[in-house]
Amino acid sequence: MNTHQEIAPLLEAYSRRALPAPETAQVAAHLAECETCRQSLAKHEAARALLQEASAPALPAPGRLRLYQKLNEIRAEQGEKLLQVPAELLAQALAKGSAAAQAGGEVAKASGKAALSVANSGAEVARTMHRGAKAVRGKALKAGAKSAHHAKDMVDEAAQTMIDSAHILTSEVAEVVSESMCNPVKAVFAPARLAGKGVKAGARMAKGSLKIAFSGAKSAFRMAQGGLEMGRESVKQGGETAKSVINIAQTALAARNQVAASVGKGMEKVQNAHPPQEGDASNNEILP
Amino acid sequence: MATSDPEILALLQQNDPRGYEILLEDYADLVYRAAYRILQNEQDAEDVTQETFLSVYRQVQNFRGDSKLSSWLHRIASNAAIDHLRAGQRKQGQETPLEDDPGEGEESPEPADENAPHPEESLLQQESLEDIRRALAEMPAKLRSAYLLYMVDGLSLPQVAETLNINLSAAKLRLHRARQFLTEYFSQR
Repeated sequence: MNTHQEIAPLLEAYSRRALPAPETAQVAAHLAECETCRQSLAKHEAARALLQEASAPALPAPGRLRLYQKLNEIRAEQGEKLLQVPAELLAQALAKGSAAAQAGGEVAKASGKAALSVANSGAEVARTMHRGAKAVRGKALKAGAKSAHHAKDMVDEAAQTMIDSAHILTSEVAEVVSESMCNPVKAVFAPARLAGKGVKAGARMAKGSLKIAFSGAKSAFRMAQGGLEMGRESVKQGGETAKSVINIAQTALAARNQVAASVGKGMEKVQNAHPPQEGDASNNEILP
Repeated sequence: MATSDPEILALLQQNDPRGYEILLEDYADLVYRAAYRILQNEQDAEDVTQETFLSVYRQVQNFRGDSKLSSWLHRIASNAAIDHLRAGQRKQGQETPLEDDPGEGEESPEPADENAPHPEESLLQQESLEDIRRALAEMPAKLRSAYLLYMVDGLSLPQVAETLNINLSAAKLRLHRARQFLTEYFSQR
């Protein structure tokens, strides 16, 4: 009977089916009665299976078919008899081809749908931006109109003050002149009185100017207020536009996922495509 | 019943299409795998597979049958794949190591043999398939080729040496280095 010490080093080669027949029989006999070695063998086989899966692809059916075609091209050039492609390979390649065509159609459909929803989202963004631009423009016009209105009031007020002052001064001067003509004594004091009237008129004009300055400040304040309102509106519209852009990004992401899912499904279908069991394909020659 | 190597060779040397049909049936996967293990790319591996069978078509009259058909095909495919890899690297100005270092003629300090312990096997079981693929892809191509012939295809070390057209100590050294590579790769993560 073989011991662990004798069998354990052989297990790896046994798992690779690389032992000569007599040793294979010895190991098999030992495995039948040794749980420890069975577990050890299972580990070797698991590692080998992993390596096999990670490293050993088989030539896919379409590639195999192209290999037959390539050799037949060369043989045809030399006028030699062509190879016969196995019916099973033809059926397999055909099944994969038709699965690929079907998957391609589904991917195209999903892509079309995705493109449409992205386009719709894009149009929504454009509409939001248009609405925003219109609202900002309205606010700007309103603020401009208010400013213009205030400027006009300011000019009117300034002109009126000047006119009033000039009017008062003129009538006061006329009064002093008329009194001077009637009363020579009053005429002696006329220059002083006129100077006094002039000072008064100057004070009125100064008051008017103060009013104008105040009105100007008020107008500037309103203009600033209008600007702030416009700014607020722009921020609001910007926010709405950003929201729409996020929507379009989400739509695009969803669309991409749909297309990816469709591609994945298609790949799976192509991968799993098998020829019909009772195929009617017979051995055919592939012509170059 | 499987056709023997001398029978297939006789058909091939008579240019009988049946010989090629058997050859493709029995060896297309072996050739594709040999190319894929070096190139790590399906399309390139398919191109090299075509190239290999065209070489067989052109050279079969000169093949004397001294080695097994599988070894001969593997050698043609490996050489074509290495040429393909080098040509691609030259084009892209890259350099991927084909082997660890040029000292392959030297004896390994601890030559791998069939009974040596294999620490990488228990490491492999803790890894995902994707990680194993990545590790194999990063392994130098000549080490990968020898390691997989041994581990997956179940060839003995002398058979690996014959298939890769190298001597036995070089085959042992490649296997040893491949195991070392995997052990270090997975231990460092």
